Amino acid sequence: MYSLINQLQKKDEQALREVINKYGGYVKAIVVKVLQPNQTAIEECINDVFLTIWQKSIQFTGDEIDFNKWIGVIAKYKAIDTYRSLQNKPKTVELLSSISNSKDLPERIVEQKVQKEQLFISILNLSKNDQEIFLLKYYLGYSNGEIAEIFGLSKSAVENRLYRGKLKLTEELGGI
Amino acid sequence: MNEKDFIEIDIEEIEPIELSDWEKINIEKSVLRSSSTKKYVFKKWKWVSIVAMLTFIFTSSSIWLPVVANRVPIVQQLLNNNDNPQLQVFSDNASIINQIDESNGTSIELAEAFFDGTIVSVSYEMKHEQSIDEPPLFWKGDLEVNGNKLDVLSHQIVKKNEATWIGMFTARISDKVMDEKVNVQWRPQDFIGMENTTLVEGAWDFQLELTPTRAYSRKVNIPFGNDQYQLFYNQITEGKYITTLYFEGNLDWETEFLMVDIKDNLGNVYENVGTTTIKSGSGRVNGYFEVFIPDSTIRTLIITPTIRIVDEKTLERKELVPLPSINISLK
Repeated sequence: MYSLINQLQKKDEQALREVINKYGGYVKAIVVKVLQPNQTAIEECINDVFLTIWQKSIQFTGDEIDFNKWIGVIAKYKAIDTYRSLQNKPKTVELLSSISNSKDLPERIVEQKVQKEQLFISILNLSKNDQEIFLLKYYLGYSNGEIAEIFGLSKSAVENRLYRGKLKLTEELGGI
Repeated sequence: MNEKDFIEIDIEEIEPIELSDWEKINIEKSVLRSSSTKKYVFKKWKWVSIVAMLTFIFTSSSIWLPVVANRVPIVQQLLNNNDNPQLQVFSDNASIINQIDESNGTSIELAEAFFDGTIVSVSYEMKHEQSIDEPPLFWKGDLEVNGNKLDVLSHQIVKKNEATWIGMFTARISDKVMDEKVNVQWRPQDFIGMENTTLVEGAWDFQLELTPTRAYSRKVNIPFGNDQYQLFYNQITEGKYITTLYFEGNLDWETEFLMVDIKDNLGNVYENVGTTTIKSGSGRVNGYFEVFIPDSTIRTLIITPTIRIVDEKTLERKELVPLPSINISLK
């Protein structure tokens, strides 16, 4: 694996510095696109993105290109979440209750207290298309119909992907 | 752009924006600070900005300007890629001091100093016998004006070479405008790094007299906030160097912080504006924030406050509460 990621996963502060140096401008560009001109929110969000990267890099698997995308998705959705909070929109993160309603999930997972951040990172381990659908559904609270409209899919296709993604997430979260 | 437009952003098509060294340092410090379980003890006065929330910030927004660097021997060796015009004010108004004191093999030259009626700012160069790899950000010892001890508001330092660091610090002398000369004593002892390790040992002593430039102060009563957060600006002080807006209101000092985004009528955006607060009663604070007004034709500041609610122990953000913007007229 990309050695910088290895070092980051070992909580090497020099690696953190290099990651900020290498990806900071990319993260800032994404965050600025969403939160401009709110400087306070931009800085807050950039810090939050790198805190997530630092704390959750251990769960990243992939190469350098994947890492770049992983960071980009974190930045994009953290920024949208911040944007939403600034618009006073409710934060809808009902993945747990949604999972608990699923017949496919074992009780032990339903009973597991899983944090929003963990779910966010777990969702990032799904395939790219499913990942965005899940983030929209469970991180930002979009309805299946709205997601279908955004991606140009039928509602049943979205439901199908959500179903398959949940199975994968079950495996992910089962290991917690 | 709305939320759905943001969702459609293709992250693979994004072109990076340049991040300053200062921004990078602040991100790093904020991440490490947030990850740490250490409890940080604040002084009675708490200075906080969006970056300072998560890191112990050691400077305000940048202050150096290459245009004036040639005229300011020490400053010219500092950051040469920053166009913040505040340094022009420093350069135009600062007194050349050039006092040198040596202790334990380390010499410090106090180069220039400036007093704008409320704020004193001093630049210096420190030459050590050996290399200093870590920024010597803090010092023991005193900074006094007219016999009163001051806390340093901001401190910027830059590494010139392995053994030499150049710095500038700023301290608030008074909430009221002063129009008489002041006596400044700076007696640093032992410079300390971020990890609380002593980097340079010694004791130095500087004394100087500074004449203020003209400043203005006026009492106001301008409410802002919402039903939950009822605050108001009660004083505005305008000096050449710093314009200060004082406020008070109902905030929990431990967990609720006022953040401000500031623009002016010419469209300038003021970045990294931190607020300093002191607890004045149960659920109440007094505080202030400072901005450098770069142009005398600027008539209005448009201030958008946000309350940041944090976890008391970790200082991590729990919620941001945006408050309505308010316009403040300048003199």
